[in-house]
Amino acid sequence: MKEKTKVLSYVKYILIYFLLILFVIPFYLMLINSFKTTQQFVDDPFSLPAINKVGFDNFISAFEKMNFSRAIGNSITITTIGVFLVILTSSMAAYFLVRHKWKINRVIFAIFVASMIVPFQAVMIPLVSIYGRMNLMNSKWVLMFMYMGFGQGFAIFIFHGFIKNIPIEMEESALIDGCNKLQSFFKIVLPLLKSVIMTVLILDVLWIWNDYLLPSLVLLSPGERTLPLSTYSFFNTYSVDYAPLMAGIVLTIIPVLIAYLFSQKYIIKGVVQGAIK
Amino acid sequence: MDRNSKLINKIGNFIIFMGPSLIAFSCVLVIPFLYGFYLTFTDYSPIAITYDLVGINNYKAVFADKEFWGQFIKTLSYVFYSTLFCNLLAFILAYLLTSNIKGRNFLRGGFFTPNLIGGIVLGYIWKFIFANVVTQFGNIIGYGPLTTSFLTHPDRAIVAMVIVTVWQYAGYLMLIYIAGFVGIPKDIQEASEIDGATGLTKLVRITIPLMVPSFIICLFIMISRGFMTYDLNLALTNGQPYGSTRLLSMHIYQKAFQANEYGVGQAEAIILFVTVAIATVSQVLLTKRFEVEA
Amino acid sequence: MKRRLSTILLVAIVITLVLTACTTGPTGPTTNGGAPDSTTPGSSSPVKITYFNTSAEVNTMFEDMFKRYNEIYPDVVIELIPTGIGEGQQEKLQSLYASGNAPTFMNVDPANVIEYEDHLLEFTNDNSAWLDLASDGAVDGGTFGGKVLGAPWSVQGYGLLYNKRVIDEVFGEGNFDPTTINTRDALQVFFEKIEETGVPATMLHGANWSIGGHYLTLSYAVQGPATSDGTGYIDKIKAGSVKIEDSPIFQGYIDTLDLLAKHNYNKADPLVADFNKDIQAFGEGKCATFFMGDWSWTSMITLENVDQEYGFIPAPWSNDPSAYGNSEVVMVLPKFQCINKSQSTPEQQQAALDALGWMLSEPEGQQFFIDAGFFMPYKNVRDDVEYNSMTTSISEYAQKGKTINLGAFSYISGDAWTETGNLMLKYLVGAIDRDELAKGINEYWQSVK
Repeated sequence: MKEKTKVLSYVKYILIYFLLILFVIPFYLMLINSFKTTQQFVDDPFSLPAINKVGFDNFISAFEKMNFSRAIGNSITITTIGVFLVILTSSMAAYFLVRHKWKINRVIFAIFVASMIVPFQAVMIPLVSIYGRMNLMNSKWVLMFMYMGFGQGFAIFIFHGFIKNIPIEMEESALIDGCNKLQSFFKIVLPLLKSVIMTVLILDVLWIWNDYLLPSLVLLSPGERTLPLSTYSFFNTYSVDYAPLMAGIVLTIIPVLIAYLFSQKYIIKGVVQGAIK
Repeated sequence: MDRNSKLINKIGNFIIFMGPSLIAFSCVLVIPFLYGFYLTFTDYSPIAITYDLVGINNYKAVFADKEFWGQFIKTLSYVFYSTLFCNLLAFILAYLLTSNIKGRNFLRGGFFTPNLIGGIVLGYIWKFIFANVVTQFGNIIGYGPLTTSFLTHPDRAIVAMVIVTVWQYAGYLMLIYIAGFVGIPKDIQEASEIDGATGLTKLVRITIPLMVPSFIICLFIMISRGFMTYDLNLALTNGQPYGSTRLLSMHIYQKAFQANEYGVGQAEAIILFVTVAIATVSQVLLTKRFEVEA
Repeated sequence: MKRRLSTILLVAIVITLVLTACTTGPTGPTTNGGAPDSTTPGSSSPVKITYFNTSAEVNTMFEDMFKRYNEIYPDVVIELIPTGIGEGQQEKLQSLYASGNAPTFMNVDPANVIEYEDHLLEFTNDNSAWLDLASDGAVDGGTFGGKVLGAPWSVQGYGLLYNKRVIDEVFGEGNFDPTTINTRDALQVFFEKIEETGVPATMLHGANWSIGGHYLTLSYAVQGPATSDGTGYIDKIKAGSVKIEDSPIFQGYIDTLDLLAKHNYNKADPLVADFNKDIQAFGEGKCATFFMGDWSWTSMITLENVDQEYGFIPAPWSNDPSAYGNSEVVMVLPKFQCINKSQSTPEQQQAALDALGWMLSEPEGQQFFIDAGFFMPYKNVRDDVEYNSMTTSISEYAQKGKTINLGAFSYISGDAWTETGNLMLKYLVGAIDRDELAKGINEYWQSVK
């Protein structure tokens, strides 16, 4: 009996680490190949980069061509403010929708949920044509506002599920103590939502940070570009210059990776909690 | 008097709590969506200077678009297989990672990493892997079928898309399943063990029925995202070989912007929306039936 | 009941909002950026104009050029809008037009010139001095309905590229005469001779733009030396009065394609279409010829340990040495520059006209194109420029008048080469036979309005 469990557990370890290698191998390949020339890369993608051959050349050229410092600044601003707006407004809306079971609120909630399955192509051209005519293109702020709108459906869906399970008694006693609705929301409900806020935060940060299509439509001038936009300025018509591109991608991932490593514990916790509902 | 002020209070709260959310949502999604719907009844084009109402001609054109329906079938099979395999793998991973295993957190983190990168970047990495790495590997081990790229054969290119989709989302779904496993009350597990249920029996009889909520979420995520896949499709196959892997979203793009039939493309997008709505709603309703109270 | 009422109410509100949104912006063209862009004459703030570039491989060349232009003319700022990935260009450009932010001027395919016809400014002798300097016939490809709407800036050519070192190893140095390849049989003998030495004779790049956009287009262009011969032929196919399979030229080109496919370096996996890989294999002499154009040079020079000497031979479609197309290579004006009049102010249009004039006809502007290896179709270009071997070979054909007029290419718009190109790729790998190919191409053209 004991022998058998031991063998089984070995099989389990082998299986899981084999799968893990399959999951991370693309990252490994990307990293080693970002230190090669495109030619070496096409010839032999597996080999380790030769020392002193290319070094950080790809990174330097990617850094310059991407206008990296500017782009990362834009990305950070847009992501931070965008995510903050989504979380603040959607948590308030979800709270109101849960606590006031009016007919119209049910309809509104249903529309929010349905919005999660609207294909982006169905709104793309109308969106640019409306905002273009009102002369609202080419602004970070408009982009953040758009993220605020597009983020509502998913965030409200998740918050709604959580707030449902928060007992109403605490708020009622706060109201008796003279708090108004707004105060009781910020003082009582919001702190209880910490873990689910984390979930929405992480998923929305990943979404906005990596988004390509929407910023490519809204941000027209080079100075406003985000990281994904500048990464793609590498591509040329007939081919992809792989090596500096890989370096560019590595540069785009590094900030997320660092943030991820620091907050990994919360991320796993956050997603897990978000999923229960 | 009192009643009036109560109503004003209610409206005030509605504006404070719902206002910002509703305004942003309407301006960004609802209005453009309805405007887009209106455009399907016109011969609008982004580059035409004027446009006219054309009734339901665009919808007629959709039904005559053989290519669209061909890709429709292809998209259905892509969604089916990626949903199936992704959930299967995620479930197995979650099962293993909730059992007594060392380095659980490290492993969970590792499997989640593909979610850190956007679809276009993932697509380019995998394109390179299929075209260069896999073929080199095939040459080294001397196995014929692997020496040609997955991306140059219509069926294998769809398989490649499914592989990358599974790779991308398995870690995400895994976390949701882990939550499901963790959420099963201890007393039920113990009770079942006393009753003599072990291993597979316990999994099939006890665990899976209690995890129906997780299945509902995971299936919803995969079905809705599967139908709307665009980034990955663009970066990995770009419709190749010979246009055989243009899933619905890509077909709509090309119809609207390359064939310059904007109205038809927009009408197809509406049909896609209705399809996804039907698919996800029926999935949720169907799976909800299996839900049991713990 | 109550529920239904509130739903109706909501829908009504939304519709009102939509209508207001629509009425605030009339459907007609709006002028771009009322506020910051339209500078009043005499004010010191610079005119800002935008440039949309679809030749992504030379983004940096344009960037440098615009920077220099701003140094000379500080009152004009040109902002480059580079393009994304391959097919993303069209939707990007259309979204710019839809949003009223159309670029002031742009560098696009000839097909786009027709599509955007209504928005474009006509070039006349009054506003564009470069018109007189353009080489004979160069502006034809950008002329639609008698109006010059597109300004040409480079001439490119394609055909069968050959690697001189590899050919010399087969035939002995200096023994190969490219003019002897003027029939399909001659090409076949040539290929067989090469393969005796163990080197694959040719290479096809399995992408729809190459096999469809470039190769299949030959069968339209070779219908006759005038542009109207090609376009007239396409019109007949569209009308259904001519079937493509009845054309000996089409049949001939497909026969030649079969020959190329038989000796294809990529035969094992013809559709990989990795341009880097192909160009590297050709440069390293792993195959002797390559159906491609002189634009490959920009990729070639980034590689190490590759050959430098190349030349072109035709891809003959029949066994008649005197037939049009059998001893000619293609010469094409692949891109045109256009100025938008519908969404820009007169000041912006003037600034764009001036910048374009500088680029195309001033020595300093031309130098940027020359340095990037482009052959410009203008009479006042320096004549002491040494071009790379590929461009030199094309210009030799041009001097002898041995070029195929690809004017019909300008009229092949929208998704033509993607769709017919996909059919060609299917044929290349044997997924369809020749009858099905011809049927598919006929059907495609008949479906185009």
